[in-house]
Amino acid sequence: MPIIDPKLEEPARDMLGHAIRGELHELATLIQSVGGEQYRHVLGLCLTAAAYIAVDVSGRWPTDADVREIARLTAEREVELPLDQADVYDYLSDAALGFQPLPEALGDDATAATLPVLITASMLFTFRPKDQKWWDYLDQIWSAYETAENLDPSVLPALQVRARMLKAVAAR
Amino acid sequence: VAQDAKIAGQDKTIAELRSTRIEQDERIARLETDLGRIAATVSELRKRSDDQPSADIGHRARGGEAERGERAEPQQRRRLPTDAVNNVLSAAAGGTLTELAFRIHDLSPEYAGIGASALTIGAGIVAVWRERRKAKDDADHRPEA
Repeated sequence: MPIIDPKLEEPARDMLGHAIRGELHELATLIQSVGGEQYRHVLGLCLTAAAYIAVDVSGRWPTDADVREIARLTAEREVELPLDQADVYDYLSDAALGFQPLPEALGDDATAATLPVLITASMLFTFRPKDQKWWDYLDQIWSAYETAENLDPSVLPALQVRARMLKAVAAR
Repeated sequence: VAQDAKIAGQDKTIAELRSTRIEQDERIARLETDLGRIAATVSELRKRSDDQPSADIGHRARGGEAERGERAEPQQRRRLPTDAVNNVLSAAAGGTLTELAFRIHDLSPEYAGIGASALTIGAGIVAVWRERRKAKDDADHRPEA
Protein backbone atom coordinates (compact mmCIF):
# COMPACT_ATOMS: atom_id res chain seq x y z
CA MET A 1 0.00 0.00 0.00
CA PRO A 2 1.50 3.39 -0.93
CA ILE A 3 1.80 5.77 2.00
CA ILE A 4 1.92 9.53 2.27
CA ASP A 5 5.53 10.53 1.86
CA PRO A 6 7.04 10.91 5.35
CA LYS A 7 9.20 13.75 3.98
CA LEU A 8 5.97 15.72 3.57
CA GLU A 9 3.96 14.25 6.43
CA GLU A 10 6.53 14.96 9.14
CA PRO A 11 6.86 18.72 8.53
CA ALA A 12 3.06 18.95 8.10
CA ARG A 13 2.59 17.30 11.50
CA ASP A 14 5.22 19.52 13.11
CA MET A 15 3.57 22.64 11.67
CA LEU A 16 0.15 21.56 12.90
CA GLY A 17 1.67 20.92 16.33
CA HIS A 18 3.22 24.40 16.46
CA ALA A 19 -0.11 25.93 15.42
CA ILE A 20 -2.06 23.97 18.07
CA ARG A 21 0.39 25.10 20.77
CA GLY A 22 0.25 28.68 19.48
CA GLU A 23 3.98 28.71 18.67
CA LEU A 24 3.82 31.11 15.76
CA HIS A 25 7.53 32.04 15.64
CA GLU A 26 8.53 28.36 15.56
CA LEU A 27 5.90 27.72 12.89
CA ALA A 28 7.22 30.61 10.77
CA THR A 29 10.80 29.31 11.10
CA LEU A 30 9.78 25.79 10.07
CA ILE A 31 7.78 27.02 7.06
CA GLN A 32 10.76 29.10 5.94
CA SER A 33 13.14 26.16 6.38
CA VAL A 34 11.13 23.62 4.33
CA GLY A 35 10.92 25.89 1.30
CA GLY A 36 8.31 26.58 -1.34
CA GLU A 37 7.94 23.19 -3.02
CA GLN A 38 7.53 21.22 0.20
CA TYR A 39 5.25 23.84 1.74
CA ARG A 40 2.85 23.58 -1.20
CA HIS A 41 2.46 19.88 -0.42
CA VAL A 42 1.94 20.67 3.27
CA LEU A 43 -0.90 23.01 2.25
CA GLY A 44 -2.36 20.20 0.13
CA LEU A 45 -2.23 17.83 3.10
CA CYS A 46 -3.90 20.45 5.32
CA LEU A 47 -6.76 20.83 2.81
CA THR A 48 -7.14 17.06 2.62
CA ALA A 49 -7.23 16.69 6.41
CA ALA A 50 -9.70 19.57 6.83
CA ALA A 51 -12.05 18.01 4.25
CA TYR A 52 -11.90 14.66 6.11
CA ILE A 53 -12.67 16.28 9.47
CA ALA A 54 -15.63 18.21 8.02
CA VAL A 55 -17.14 15.05 6.50
CA ASP A 56 -16.33 12.97 9.59
CA VAL A 57 -18.03 15.29 12.09
CA SER A 58 -21.03 15.92 9.83
CA GLY A 59 -21.59 12.22 9.20
CA ARG A 60 -22.39 13.06 5.56
CA TRP A 61 -21.12 15.38 2.82
CA PRO A 62 -21.41 18.64 4.79
CA THR A 63 -24.35 20.91 4.00
CA ASP A 64 -23.96 24.68 4.13
CA ALA A 65 -25.47 24.66 7.63
CA ASP A 66 -22.94 22.00 8.69
CA VAL A 67 -20.01 24.06 7.40
CA ARG A 68 -21.31 27.16 9.20
CA GLU A 69 -21.60 25.21 12.44
CA ILE A 70 -18.12 23.73 12.08
CA ALA A 71 -16.74 27.22 11.38
CA ARG A 72 -18.55 28.67 14.40
CA LEU A 73 -17.30 25.99 16.78
CA THR A 74 -13.74 26.07 15.41
CA ALA A 75 -13.48 29.83 15.92
CA GLU A 76 -15.24 29.71 19.28
CA ARG A 77 -13.13 26.90 20.82
CA GLU A 78 -9.76 28.25 19.63
CA VAL A 79 -7.84 29.83 22.50
CA GLU A 80 -4.37 30.35 20.98
CA LEU A 81 -5.26 32.24 17.79
CA PRO A 82 -7.91 34.76 16.83
CA LEU A 83 -9.59 32.74 14.07
CA ASP A 84 -12.37 34.43 12.16
CA GLN A 85 -15.49 32.33 11.64
CA ALA A 86 -15.95 33.72 8.12
CA ASP A 87 -12.38 32.72 7.16
CA VAL A 88 -12.92 29.19 8.46
CA TYR A 89 -16.19 29.01 6.49
CA ASP A 90 -14.50 30.23 3.27
CA TYR A 91 -11.58 27.85 3.73
CA LEU A 92 -13.86 24.86 4.18
CA SER A 93 -16.67 25.72 1.84
CA ASP A 94 -14.64 27.04 -1.10
CA ALA A 95 -11.19 25.44 -0.81
CA ALA A 96 -11.29 22.16 1.16
CA LEU A 97 -14.76 21.00 0.08
CA GLY A 98 -15.24 23.21 -3.01
CA PHE A 99 -11.81 22.58 -4.59
CA GLN A 100 -11.28 26.23 -5.51
CA PRO A 101 -7.68 27.45 -5.57
CA LEU A 102 -6.63 28.79 -2.15
CA PRO A 103 -6.03 32.43 -3.17
CA GLU A 104 -9.51 32.55 -4.77
CA ALA A 105 -11.13 31.00 -1.71
CA LEU A 106 -9.34 33.10 0.88
CA GLY A 107 -8.88 36.36 -0.97
CA ASP A 108 -5.15 37.08 -0.83
CA ASP A 109 -1.78 35.32 -0.81
CA ALA A 110 -0.80 36.15 2.78
CA THR A 111 -4.07 34.66 4.08
CA ALA A 112 -3.91 31.69 1.71
CA ALA A 113 -0.31 30.98 2.76
CA THR A 114 -1.02 30.91 6.50
CA LEU A 115 -4.65 30.06 7.31
CA PRO A 116 -4.74 26.47 5.96
CA VAL A 117 -2.24 25.33 8.62
CA LEU A 118 -3.83 27.39 11.40
CA ILE A 119 -7.45 26.42 10.64
CA THR A 120 -6.67 22.74 10.03
CA ALA A 121 -4.71 22.60 13.30
CA SER A 122 -7.61 24.15 15.16
CA MET A 123 -10.12 21.73 13.60
CA LEU A 124 -7.89 18.77 14.37
CA PHE A 125 -7.75 19.74 18.05
CA THR A 126 -11.40 20.77 18.37
CA PHE A 127 -12.96 17.78 16.62
CA ARG A 128 -10.64 14.95 17.65
CA PRO A 129 -12.67 12.00 18.95
CA LYS A 130 -13.07 11.85 22.71
CA ASP A 131 -10.63 9.01 23.30
CA GLN A 132 -7.94 10.27 20.92
CA LYS A 133 -5.06 12.71 20.95
CA TRP A 134 -4.96 15.00 17.94
CA TRP A 135 -1.93 13.19 16.50
CA ASP A 136 -3.78 9.87 16.72
CA TYR A 137 -6.66 11.46 14.83
CA LEU A 138 -4.16 12.65 12.21
CA ASP A 139 -2.85 9.06 11.92
CA GLN A 140 -6.44 7.91 11.37
CA ILE A 141 -6.98 10.53 8.66
CA TRP A 142 -3.84 9.65 6.70
CA SER A 143 -4.48 5.91 6.98
CA ALA A 144 -8.03 6.41 5.73
CA TYR A 145 -6.83 8.35 2.69
CA GLU A 146 -4.16 5.77 1.93
CA THR A 147 -6.77 3.01 2.06
CA ALA A 148 -9.25 5.04 0.01
CA GLU A 149 -6.68 5.65 -2.70
CA ASN A 150 -6.74 1.97 -3.61
CA LEU A 151 -10.53 1.67 -3.64
CA ASP A 152 -13.02 2.14 -6.44
CA PRO A 153 -15.79 4.71 -5.70
CA SER A 154 -18.30 1.86 -6.12
CA VAL A 155 -17.21 0.70 -2.65
CA LEU A 156 -18.76 3.82 -1.05
CA PRO A 157 -22.37 2.52 -0.73
CA ALA A 158 -21.11 -0.70 0.85
CA LEU A 159 -18.96 1.33 3.23
CA GLN A 160 -21.96 3.47 4.19
CA VAL A 161 -24.05 0.38 4.86
CA ARG A 162 -21.22 -1.10 6.92
CA ALA A 163 -20.91 2.12 8.94
CA ARG A 164 -24.67 2.04 9.68
CA MET A 165 -24.44 -1.64 10.66
CA LEU A 166 -21.65 -0.89 13.14
CA LYS A 167 -23.70 2.00 14.58
CA ALA A 168 -26.78 -0.19 14.94
CA VAL A 169 -24.84 -2.97 16.63
CA ALA A 170 -23.15 -0.49 18.99
CA ALA A 171 -26.53 1.02 19.89
CA ARG A 172 -27.94 -2.37 20.99
CA VAL B 1 -93.28 11.44 -30.64
CA ALA B 2 -90.67 8.67 -30.68
CA GLN B 3 -88.21 11.17 -32.17
CA ASP B 4 -88.98 13.68 -29.38
CA ALA B 5 -88.51 11.00 -26.72
CA LYS B 6 -85.16 10.04 -28.29
CA ILE B 7 -84.00 13.67 -28.33
CA ALA B 8 -85.14 14.13 -24.71
CA GLY B 9 -83.19 10.98 -23.75
CA GLN B 10 -80.08 12.29 -25.48
CA ASP B 11 -80.45 15.68 -23.74
CA LYS B 12 -80.70 13.89 -20.41
CA THR B 13 -77.58 11.84 -21.16
CA ILE B 14 -75.71 15.02 -22.22
CA ALA B 15 -76.84 16.77 -19.03
CA GLU B 16 -75.67 13.79 -16.94
CA LEU B 17 -72.32 13.69 -18.73
CA ARG B 18 -71.92 17.42 -18.20
CA SER B 19 -72.68 16.99 -14.51
CA THR B 20 -70.17 14.11 -14.25
CA ARG B 21 -67.56 16.22 -16.05
CA ILE B 22 -68.12 19.11 -13.65
CA GLU B 23 -67.73 16.73 -10.70
CA GLN B 24 -64.52 15.32 -12.21
CA ASP B 25 -63.17 18.83 -12.78
CA GLU B 26 -63.92 19.69 -9.16
CA ARG B 27 -62.24 16.50 -7.97
CA ILE B 28 -59.15 17.21 -10.12
CA ALA B 29 -59.02 20.77 -8.78
CA ARG B 30 -59.20 19.45 -5.21
CA LEU B 31 -56.45 16.89 -5.94
CA GLU B 32 -54.27 19.58 -7.48
CA THR B 33 -54.75 21.76 -4.40
CA ASP B 34 -53.86 18.82 -2.14
CA LEU B 35 -50.83 17.95 -4.27
CA GLY B 36 -49.68 21.56 -4.16
CA ARG B 37 -50.02 21.52 -0.39
CA ILE B 38 -48.03 18.25 -0.12
CA ALA B 39 -45.30 19.56 -2.42
CA ALA B 40 -45.04 22.75 -0.36
CA THR B 41 -44.80 20.74 2.88
CA VAL B 42 -42.12 18.42 1.46
CA SER B 43 -40.13 21.38 0.17
CA GLU B 44 -40.47 23.16 3.51
CA LEU B 45 -39.33 20.03 5.38
CA ARG B 46 -36.37 19.59 3.04
CA LYS B 47 -35.42 23.26 3.47
CA ARG B 48 -35.71 22.98 7.23
CA SER B 49 -33.47 19.90 7.28
CA ASP B 50 -30.86 21.67 5.08
CA ASP B 51 -30.95 24.69 7.38
CA GLN B 52 -30.18 22.55 10.42
CA PRO B 53 -26.60 21.46 11.00
CA SER B 54 -25.94 17.83 11.83
CA ALA B 55 -26.37 17.28 15.57
CA ASP B 56 -23.14 15.22 15.58
CA ILE B 57 -21.03 18.34 15.04
CA GLY B 58 -21.86 19.88 18.40
CA HIS B 59 -21.26 16.57 20.18
CA ARG B 60 -17.80 16.25 18.66
CA ALA B 61 -16.61 19.78 19.47
CA ARG B 62 -14.03 20.01 22.24
CA GLY B 63 -11.21 22.48 22.96
CA GLY B 64 -11.78 25.81 24.64
CA GLU B 65 -10.14 27.01 27.85
CA ALA B 66 -10.85 23.73 29.66
CA GLU B 67 -8.47 21.80 27.41
CA ARG B 68 -5.74 24.41 27.05
CA GLY B 69 -3.30 22.14 28.93
CA GLU B 70 -3.64 19.37 26.37
CA ARG B 71 -2.54 21.73 23.61
CA ALA B 72 0.88 22.03 25.18
CA GLU B 73 1.68 18.33 24.78
CA PRO B 74 4.34 17.72 22.12
CA GLN B 75 2.97 15.63 19.29
CA GLN B 76 4.06 12.09 18.52
CA ARG B 77 5.45 10.88 15.22
CA ARG B 78 3.18 8.95 12.92
CA ARG B 79 2.57 5.33 13.84
CA LEU B 80 2.43 3.56 10.52
CA PRO B 81 0.44 0.38 9.93
CA THR B 82 2.80 -2.63 9.85
CA ASP B 83 2.44 -3.32 6.12
CA ALA B 84 3.11 0.34 5.37
CA VAL B 85 6.28 0.22 7.47
CA ASN B 86 7.51 -2.61 5.26
CA ASN B 87 6.81 -0.49 2.19
CA VAL B 88 8.16 2.74 3.56
CA LEU B 89 11.20 2.76 1.31
CA SER B 90 9.01 2.61 -1.76
CA ALA B 91 6.70 5.27 -0.43
CA ALA B 92 5.02 7.50 -2.96
CA ALA B 93 3.64 10.94 -2.22
CA GLY B 94 0.26 9.29 -2.69
CA GLY B 95 -1.21 12.63 -3.54
CA THR B 96 -1.52 12.98 -7.30
CA LEU B 97 -5.28 13.36 -7.03
CA THR B 98 -4.93 15.77 -4.12
CA GLU B 99 -2.46 17.87 -6.08
CA LEU B 100 -4.82 17.99 -9.06
CA ALA B 101 -7.97 18.64 -7.02
CA PHE B 102 -6.47 21.47 -5.00
CA ARG B 103 -4.23 22.70 -7.85
CA ILE B 104 -1.37 23.16 -5.42
CA HIS B 105 1.15 23.47 -8.26
CA ASP B 106 -0.58 26.71 -9.23
CA LEU B 107 0.44 28.17 -5.88
CA SER B 108 3.41 30.48 -6.02
CA PRO B 109 6.72 29.00 -4.78
CA GLU B 110 6.95 32.18 -2.74
CA TYR B 111 4.19 30.91 -0.46
CA ALA B 112 6.62 29.63 2.18
CA GLY B 113 8.22 33.07 2.40
CA ILE B 114 4.86 34.87 2.36
CA GLY B 115 3.46 32.54 5.02
CA ALA B 116 6.49 32.81 7.30
CA SER B 117 6.52 36.62 7.06
CA ALA B 118 2.78 36.89 7.68
CA LEU B 119 3.07 34.68 10.76
CA THR B 120 6.03 36.63 12.13
CA ILE B 121 4.14 39.90 11.71
CA GLY B 122 0.92 38.34 13.01
CA ALA B 123 2.61 36.92 16.13
CA GLY B 124 2.65 40.35 17.79
CA ILE B 125 -1.05 40.88 17.12
CA VAL B 126 -1.84 37.39 18.39
CA ALA B 127 0.12 38.06 21.61
CA VAL B 128 -2.03 41.15 22.28
CA TRP B 129 -5.19 39.18 21.46
CA ARG B 130 -4.20 36.42 23.92
CA GLU B 131 -3.58 38.96 26.70
CA ARG B 132 -7.00 40.52 26.13
CA ARG B 133 -8.72 37.16 25.92
CA LYS B 134 -7.04 36.00 29.13
CA ALA B 135 -8.01 39.24 30.92
CA LYS B 136 -11.61 38.84 29.74
CA ASP B 137 -11.66 35.19 30.76
CA ASP B 138 -10.24 36.04 34.20
CA ALA B 139 -12.85 38.78 34.62
CA ASP B 140 -15.65 36.40 33.55
CA HIS B 141 -14.56 33.80 36.11
CA ARG B 142 -13.64 36.16 38.95
CA PRO B 143 -15.79 35.41 41.99
CA GLU B 144 -18.11 38.26 42.93
CA ALA B 145 -17.07 40.19 46.05
